[in-house]
Amino acid sequence: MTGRTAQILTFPARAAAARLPPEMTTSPQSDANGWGALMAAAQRGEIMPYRRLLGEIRPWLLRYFGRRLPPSSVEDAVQETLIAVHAKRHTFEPGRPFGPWLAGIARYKWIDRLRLARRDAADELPSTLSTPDHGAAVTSAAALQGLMATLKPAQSEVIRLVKLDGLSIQEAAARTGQSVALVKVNIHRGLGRLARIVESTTDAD
Amino acid sequence: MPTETGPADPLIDQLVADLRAVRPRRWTREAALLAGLVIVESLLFIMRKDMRPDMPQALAAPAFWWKSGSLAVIASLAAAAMLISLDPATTTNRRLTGLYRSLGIALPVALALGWLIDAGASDTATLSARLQWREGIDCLKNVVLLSLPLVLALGFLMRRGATTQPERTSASAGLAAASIGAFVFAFHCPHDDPLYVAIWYGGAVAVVSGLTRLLLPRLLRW
Repeated sequence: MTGRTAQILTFPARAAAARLPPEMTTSPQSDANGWGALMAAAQRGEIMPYRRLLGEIRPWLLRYFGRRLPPSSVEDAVQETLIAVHAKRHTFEPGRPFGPWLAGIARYKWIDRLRLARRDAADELPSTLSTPDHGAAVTSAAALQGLMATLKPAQSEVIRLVKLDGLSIQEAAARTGQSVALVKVNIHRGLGRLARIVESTTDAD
Repeated sequence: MPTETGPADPLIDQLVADLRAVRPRRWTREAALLAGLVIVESLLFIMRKDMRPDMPQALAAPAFWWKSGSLAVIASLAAAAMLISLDPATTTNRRLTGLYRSLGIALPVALALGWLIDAGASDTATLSARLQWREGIDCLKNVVLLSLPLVLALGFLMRRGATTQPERTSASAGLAAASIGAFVFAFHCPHDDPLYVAIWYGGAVAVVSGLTRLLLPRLLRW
């Protein structure tokens, strides 16, 4: 992973800790933002801490996926992750840091999204069709852009055109001079490679 | 009901409404459960099939210790890796990486030790006499059958857990289940010839791990 991407992927817990009152950050064992304690309470069935926890991790997840996915799939990814957190809440061990646990689930859902995009590589997704401000919004998927730089130019170019800018396969073929079949192959292989890269690198969380 | 942290969200409302108390998962408890299952399976198997008749002599032979020792080490490493990997926080955990690495070392070391024991024995029997394929097939079948309950148990634990690397976790589960099955079978099977063990035990372990690696990830999506 490039240094730039690693910087972008930095886990924002420290930033969050800076904003918290000192009494919540004194114990090094508990999470700076108290999420671990909230989850431990939720495991005992306490509703209020659980609601607070979900309300607090939602913005974190929005930021997390905002940096990593095209805007059209950010909300879906956040909801899927919240559902996964709910379904797998018993896998959190109370007393251990909550951040890596949440980041592990978010990362898994991110890889899932990349895989999903790969399976539909040959489809032209109407949901990613460009809208006037779409291009600017897409560039905020900064971590994704950083990762794309590690692909072969022929692969990253067609992925950018079809998956992010919303061109059709034919348009991308005309634009790049690659054949229609080659565009499909390059998207498929490129997305597969992306998923593998993400899976094999240690997220800088 | 909105909180100070943000506006009401229908999904969050739904999830909160669905909240029930859960018992946090601990991998040590699951490991103890697994150990219990192995003991029960061994007892049932020995009751049905009897222990090998030459057990006292076998206990003095390095080949027997090599066989069961290697299988026990591989089974423990694979089972520990599999159980630890069910926690989303441990995907890039150093302990887990260490376990995968030890497995990568243990497998060739086990084979090399077997080869050494084999080189020490001045057995000049032909290849087909050493492989005894009729008994070999039977042995393979038994190991596969013995590993099935363990695949089921590990599959259940995997569905309950949350692996973020379904392929690796499935492969570890298959390796663990098959080596445990082979370990249990080793107390009945009278063959200690390293070549025989490498081919038939190894074959059964490869079949079970391969199939689990192929099939389980599909059932593990979450």
